[in-house]
Order: sequence, then structure tokens, then C-alpha cells
Amino acid sequence: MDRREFVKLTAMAAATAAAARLPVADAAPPASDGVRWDKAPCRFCGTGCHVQVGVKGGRVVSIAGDRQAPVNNGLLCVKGYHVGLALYGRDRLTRPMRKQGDKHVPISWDSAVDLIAQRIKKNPSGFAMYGSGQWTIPEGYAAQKFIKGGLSNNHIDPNARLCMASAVTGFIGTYGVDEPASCYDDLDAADVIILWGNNPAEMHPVLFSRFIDRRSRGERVKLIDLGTRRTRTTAFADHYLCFKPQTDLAIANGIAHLLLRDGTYDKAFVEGHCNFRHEADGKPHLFGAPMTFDAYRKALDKYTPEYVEKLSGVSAADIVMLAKLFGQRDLRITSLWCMGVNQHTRGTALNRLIHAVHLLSGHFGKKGDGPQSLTGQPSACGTAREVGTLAHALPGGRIVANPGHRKQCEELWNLPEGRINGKPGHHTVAMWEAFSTPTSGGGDIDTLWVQVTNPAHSLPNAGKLFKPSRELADKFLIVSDVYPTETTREADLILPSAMWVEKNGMFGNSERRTQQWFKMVDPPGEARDDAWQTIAVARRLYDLGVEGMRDKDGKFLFHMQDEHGHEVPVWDFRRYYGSVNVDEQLFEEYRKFSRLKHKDLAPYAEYVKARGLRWPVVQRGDGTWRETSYRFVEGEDPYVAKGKGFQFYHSTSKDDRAQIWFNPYEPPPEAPDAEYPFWLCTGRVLEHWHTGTMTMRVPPLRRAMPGAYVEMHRLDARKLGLENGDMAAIETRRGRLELPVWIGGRGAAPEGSLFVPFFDEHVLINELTLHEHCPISKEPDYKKCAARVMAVRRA
Amino acid sequence: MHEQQARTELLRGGAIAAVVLVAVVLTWVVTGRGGHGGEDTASARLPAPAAQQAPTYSELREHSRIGSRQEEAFLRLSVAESAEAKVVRQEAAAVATRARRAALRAFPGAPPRVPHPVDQAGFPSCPACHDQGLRLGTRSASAMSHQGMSSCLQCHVVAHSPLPFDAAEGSPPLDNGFVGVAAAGLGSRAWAGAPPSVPHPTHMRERCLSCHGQVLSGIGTTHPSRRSCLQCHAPTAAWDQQPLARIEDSP
Repeated sequence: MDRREFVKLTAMAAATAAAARLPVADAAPPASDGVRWDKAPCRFCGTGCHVQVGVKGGRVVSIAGDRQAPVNNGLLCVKGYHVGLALYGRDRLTRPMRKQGDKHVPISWDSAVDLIAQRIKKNPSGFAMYGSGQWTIPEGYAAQKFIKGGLSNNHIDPNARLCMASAVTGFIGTYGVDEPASCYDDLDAADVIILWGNNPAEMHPVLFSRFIDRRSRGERVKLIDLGTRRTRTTAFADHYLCFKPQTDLAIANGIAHLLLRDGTYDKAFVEGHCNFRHEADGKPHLFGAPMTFDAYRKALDKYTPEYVEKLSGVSAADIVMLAKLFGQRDLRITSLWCMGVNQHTRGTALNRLIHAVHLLSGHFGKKGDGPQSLTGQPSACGTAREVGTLAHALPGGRIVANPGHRKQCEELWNLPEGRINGKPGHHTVAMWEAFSTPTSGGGDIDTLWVQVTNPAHSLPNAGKLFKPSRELADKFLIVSDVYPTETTREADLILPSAMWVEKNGMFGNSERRTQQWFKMVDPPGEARDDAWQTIAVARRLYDLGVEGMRDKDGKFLFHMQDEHGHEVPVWDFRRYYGSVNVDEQLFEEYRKFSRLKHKDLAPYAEYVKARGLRWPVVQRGDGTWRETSYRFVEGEDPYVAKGKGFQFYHSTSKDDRAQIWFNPYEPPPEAPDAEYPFWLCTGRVLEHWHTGTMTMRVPPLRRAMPGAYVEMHRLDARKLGLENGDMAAIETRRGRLELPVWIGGRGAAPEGSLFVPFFDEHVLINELTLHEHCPISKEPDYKKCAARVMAVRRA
Repeated sequence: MHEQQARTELLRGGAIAAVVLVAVVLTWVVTGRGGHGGEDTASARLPAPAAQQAPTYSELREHSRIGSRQEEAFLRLSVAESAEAKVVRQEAAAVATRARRAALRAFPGAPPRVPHPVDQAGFPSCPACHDQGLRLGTRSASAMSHQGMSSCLQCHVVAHSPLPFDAAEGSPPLDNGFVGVAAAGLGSRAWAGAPPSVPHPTHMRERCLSCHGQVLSGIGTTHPSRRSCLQCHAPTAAWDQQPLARIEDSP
């Protein structure tokens, strides 16, 4: 290159750089050479895309879709492409801080750890941990062991309770074991995709593209959108069936009714592999009681297309259309669902009914043919469900109420017999109720440690569940997070956390895929790993002589040793990374729990090599590890015996059969009436993830969707005298909020319905939502309650 | 004051029109008379028959909606694009184009933001303009660099708020300290006269001419008749995440 060309190039690079940094940065972009790339699953949703992270000079400088990842095959969504920016918001939390008066003042890590340990020591049974489906697997496992194996109190629950608890109970009731039998491969092969209250174009965009782009390759993919409002997904759908909230129960029963009436159900599959189940006395029950085929048919008698039309508003002809599709053996039908089904006061029942329709029609266990439940968080499956960070659960699908399960855990953890408490702890709603109730009034939780979530923003009916605790002098709230949130603002103690590629981690996505990544950059300031925080507090309790922090040989619960057999004091953060990989040690200990329910996990080293592996991952004769695409299917699942075809080997009826449930339509706990005439639904938007604490700090995402709004029908707005952009007041029996109206925007609510996204910290819509929940899963219903709207007259 | 401004605008408009006219005539003269000659030019002037071309977005999905007249318009555009022209690289234009591209991206490789309003809920009509790309006066719609993807808004979000009101500003703070890697600049050449390598990943950029065609000024190919770009311009295996590539292989 001659000098002139060099000068020219430099000038060009400078001009490009200037333009590139205009919107955000203040330093010169690093040159493109010498960037180190490594894999990591995306930080955001439950899809589980892999990204390639480009690092230079100790900072993330680029992100690309990972082309070797089977989930996303090189594609990401707008959140994923900008995930690297989530690390660099200006107001990262960098020091532990204690509340003094109205202010938070910095304290040392040592005093912070001491403060927590002293409170726990004073009242161990009044201590609870509230975590999330964004906990990495090792983080959740450490918290789980600390609470259940160390403190013996079981008060640990994740925000996943608000998210997929109903999916769990649906799977357990149907197959006897949690998590989908099928996988994303279905999306490459399905002829028909049925969305049950689901908007994947915005919420699981990469999965949406995975099937909708097949149309560009000339394939036929029929998309049927069952929903209560029009969304971006609807625009791509062949059929949009708009139903009245809660009547999805009736629609599922209507399909089953027709399959029986017309004899189009899969007789061979049902006779060979299924039983029938119901809640005999009408009372909610996880396992229910058997029923005969005749009783099942009789229970469905009244769900004629006409009756379903009357309840749901979906035409009888459309119900018949759905039943005809399910009645065709040669079609491959995949059902997808997420929060529309799970956040439902009959969420367990609806999950069961979707499985029932698939089992009854034999649309199960073939590629493209089966029910696939999607999760919202990156490790709702890996951590909350598999590690079992739920108040009633133990690792690997075990439950605290089962003495045998407790014994197994005590053995694996080398604990004295009887260490694990047999009484389930508080589930989310109960935990926060106990924290918000005065101790004298029976509120038995006085210290609550929140990790990786933002409950002040995301809990339903926050005025009842969250706020009262902040007025009670003896209730102490500890929050580990990366940015200031609604919750940290109210916290008595704030702990700064490392996030995503600032630490080692593992996630488990919606299709049973366990993923691993390494730390690539340092966290800012004094921010530290959540798992370290848990281990450091446990160690302080050990030093204070708390017996529970020792195993039966007197060793520390989180004893770790290097390759030479020397103990490594990982509770000292300077030693946390170095001679041992704490994640690897925790995972290797944890994976021993995975065999009982045939959710076998491979050694850590296998995940280092892979872009995730779907369990059960079983070692073959030649020493290699093989993942499983379809569970319970001969030839796919290594635990299905030869000649069985299908084998539901965790069947609740102990006969290798799945349960086809009947659950009746039941009205919602709150419906519009004369006083509150509108339905209110809440949810997400493409650009923001949950409460927006990360995505609202990413300029391209914030600019594309800077604030919350209320979506309503044009005619309703006209009646109320509201125009686009006008302020409306939304009121429910629990609260009142003012927010601007957006008509003809992202979605379209039918007449009599409102939709408000929940990402915006300026508009805490969950002060208005219901805390009524599914009696089995304890998951609240954020999707429907009664509201009224009025125009706000400006002065 | 207003009148004077209007008159100035009018004059300026007239001047631009005149310049455009001259440019069009010149182009015609250059391409028609002073062309390159040889078999290259002959083959390049004619577009490949429709049957030989890979189906475009508009053919695959827009056929029923747009109708044949519009399709003809697209076809004409691709004829114009493929027409052989004496392309002279203008570095100033290239700098401006790169700067404009960079301003719409958080870092090189990030999906560009959409600098105009879009239908927030409907079926994406993006391919109507962005399938083959368009240029109208000084404004251009770049062609899509990738094929077969239909949920455009999943990656490409609007650059400006679509809301009919001003959302609350201030909190959380929006100044983000992320600094993206610099664009790689020009590809390297093994020797003077060798074809330069591709200085960026080719994943999601299979249609080289979407950027290096005739729509964006300054970065167009000097030899638009050649369509098999990677035959001469080597991509980088590490950037393209080829399974056997090692990190050390990155440039």
C-alpha cells in the first residue's frame, strides 16, 4: 500500500468511526484485528440461541449469530444482536450498598456478607431466597444446596413460578415427569403450527423465523393463531381465531369432543399408550384419578361446536376445522404455547388439555408432530425446573415431601440424615405475602434475598405483595443485581453482580438443551458472581459455627479442591477464578442428581465442546455422548425398551402410559362487569426483555420502543373521546395508572379489551394485575382481569 | 423571507434536475457508445432470463399482492443494475456511504435500523422496495443482503420511536458505554492487481450486489457483469465461522 492510499484509508476509517460512535460511545473503536471470539448462549429468552461474542481489550466489541448452533443456525433477533450492549449501561451497580435513611451508602463486601450472615444466623427459618430462571445452573444449584441442604428451611422459589409453573404441572400430570418430549426440530417439519395464545414473532423471534421462513423455500406451513388480540404473528397466520379470554379451555375440549364424535381420534395410539384422567371430586389435584373412556366421552358430550362457539366466540365452523386437522393422521401438527396458557388461573388444566388433544389424535412423538411448551427465561428449564429451585422441589425432579428423595439428596450431599426439611417452603406468592405481613401477624419471612430478578416490577398485585414490607421495620430486603431497578431502590442491601460473559455460566433452554459458556471479560468495579455471593455467605455462617454449613464429616458445604487435592478457598473472590472452575465443580456434583428422572447430563467437558446438548445425554459404547431429540420414542430415547414403540416410563399410573386429561371449562375469577367493563391483558414486546432493566439501557432497543402504552380498539377509544397519544387512566380493583393510548400500533385488541406491556419502569402495570393463581401450579394470571378506562382531562 | 426561500429552493431544484439530466445523458453516452466492448459487455447488457434467476422475494411472496405491473418495474431495475457501466470509484462517496451505513448500526455486523416508519403490526412490506433495492433521486433503498427471511422486523427495528406520544426520558439512563469494533476497511491483496479478499463476514451477506451493486454510491463493484463474486474474492474462514477455522486465523 502506498502512502497516499494509507492516508486515504486512515481518513476513511476515522470518518466511519466517527459516524459509528455518534449514538453511543465515547472511545475510538478498536481495530478489527485480534478480536477473540467465543460462544455463549444469548442472555435473554428461553429460545436458547447461541451467539459468538467478539472480545478485545477486555471488552465485548461485537456479536454475531452462531452458525454452528442448531437452535438458531446463525440467526438472532434484535435483542440478541445487541446483547453485548447490555453490559455497558452507565449506571451499572459496582459496589455493595446499604440503605441509610433515604440513601444507599457504599459498604465493603466483607461487611455486606457479614450483615447477611448475622441476620440468617439470628433466624434461619425466617430467611428466604427469591431467584429466577436467569440464574445459571451452578448459581441456582448453589442457592438450592445452601437453603435446603444448609438451612433446612425450603424457602426458595424462582420468578419462574410466575412464568412456567403451569407447564411443569401439566407435564407431570400427563407424562409423570417434567419438560417437553419433543424439540425445536418440529419447527422444521410441521405442516401445521397451532399457536395457543402465543406471539412468537415478537417473543421467540428466531423460532418464528425457523418455521415461517420455510415458506420462502416453497414449503407449505399452515399457521393457526388462537389468540385474544391481533399481534405481529397474526399477520403471517392462515387463520386467526379470536377467542374470549379463558375459553381456550372450551376450545381444547371442543376439539376432543369432535375427535370422539367423528371417530377420528387415533384409536391404536390411545389404546396402546394412554389412560384417561380427571379431578374426580372437582377439586384441583396434580395427579387426579383415573376415568374410563366412556366417562371421558360423556364428560366431553356438552362441548359441541355450537356450545364452544357460544362460550368462546370462535365459530363452530372453525372448531370443526381444527378438529379435522387433528383428525388427519398424515399431517404433522405442532402446538406452541407460552405465557398465554401458563399465566392462567387454570393453567395446569389448559396445559393438560393441549397434551390431551395431541395424545388423543396421535399427533405425538414424530418430527413435526407434537406439543412444545416454550419458556420465557434462558434457564427456566435448566435451573428452576431441573435443579429444582422451587419451594417444593429437590434437584433432578425430586420433591421435599418424599422421604426417599430427601434421603437420596442427603446421601449425594453427604449430609446427616434428617437435614432436609420435609415441609415445602413458601411458593412465590406466599413468600412475598409472608414478607409483606408483619411478623406479629404471622408473616414468618423477615429476611429475603433476591437474585437475578426484579419482583417490585414483576410481581402481580404489587401493592399487596411487595410494598407493605417496605414499611415494616424488621423486614430486610437484600437484592443482587446489575443495574438499579424498582427492587434495588427499595432494598436494604444492594449487592452488585457480574452478568452473562462476565462470569462462567450454564443455561438450559426450552428444548432440554444444556449450554455452557466461559467468562470472557471482567465485571465492572466490585461486581461479583451470584454463586460466589451465596458461597461467601455460607462460608461466613460456617465460620460463625452454624452447623448446617457442614456436611456430616464437618466439611464446608461448598468444599472445593484443586487437581492436587488441596482445598481452594473459593469464598475469597481472589481465588474464585484460578485453580478451580467453580461452575465445573458445582455442575459435576449436580449432574449426579440427573439420573433418577432420566434427565442424564453429560460431563462439563462435553458441554464445553458443544453448542448445547439435549438431555438425556447418554454415553454410548464407544465412549461418545449422545443427546436425545424425542423422549419416550423408540429409537430416539435410549430409555425406551425395544419393541415398545412409545414408552412413558415415568407414567403416574405405573403402566408406561400417558394420561389424557379431562378438565372442564371454568369461568375466570374476575371478568368484566358493569363497573369494570374491559379485559386487561399484559405482556411483552419484541425489543424489551421482561422488566427492561437491561434492554431499556440499549439505545437501539430503547429508541425503537421507548415507553409503555395502552392498546385499545378504535371504537372504544372513540366512545371514550380518546385519540392516539391521549392519556387514559386504567383502573382495576387493585390500582390506577395513567398511560398514553396507541391505536393501530404493535397489536390490535378487540373491542372491550386492553393490552399494556410491562417492561416500562414508569408504568408499573403489575400494580393493577391479579394475584389469583392456578390452584395447582400457584402461577398467577397476568393475562386477564377486569378494568375500566377513562380519558384524562388535561388541565 | 418565505418567498425568497421558496425561490432559492426552486432554483436549487432546477439546478439538481439539470445535473441529473446531464448525468443521465452522459451515462447513456458512456454505456452506449464508449462501452467496454468484448463479450463481457454483450452478455451483461441482457439480464439473465427470468427462468434462470434465483426466485426473488417478490416472486416468492409478493406475486399475488403486488401484481405483474410492479414486478415488471422491479425487473427493469435489475436490468438497470446489471447494465455494464464504466464505474469509477469515488472515495468521497464511499466515505459518505460508509458513514451513513455505520450510523444505522450499533457495530459493524449489527442489523441496520430502519430510518423510516414501518407498519408495526402488518405483514412486512419491506421487500417491495428492499428486495432489489431502488434509487430515486438522492434517496436510495438498499437491497437486502440476505435471502429467504420473511420476519424482517425481528432484527430491523425502527431508528425513531413509533409511538404517537413522547415517552418518559431520563430513567433509566441511556448513555451506553459499548464501543463496537471498527469496520475492517478494505480487503487485503496478495499482490498489486490481485483480487482483494472480502473484508467482512459473508454470513447474511450472500447477495454481494446489495451493497456492491449500483444502489449505494462509492462502494459498487467496478465490474458489475461478474456475478460469482466469491470465485475471486476470498472470504475469511474464521469470520464465517467455518467449523475447522481457528481463532488465530482471523485477520
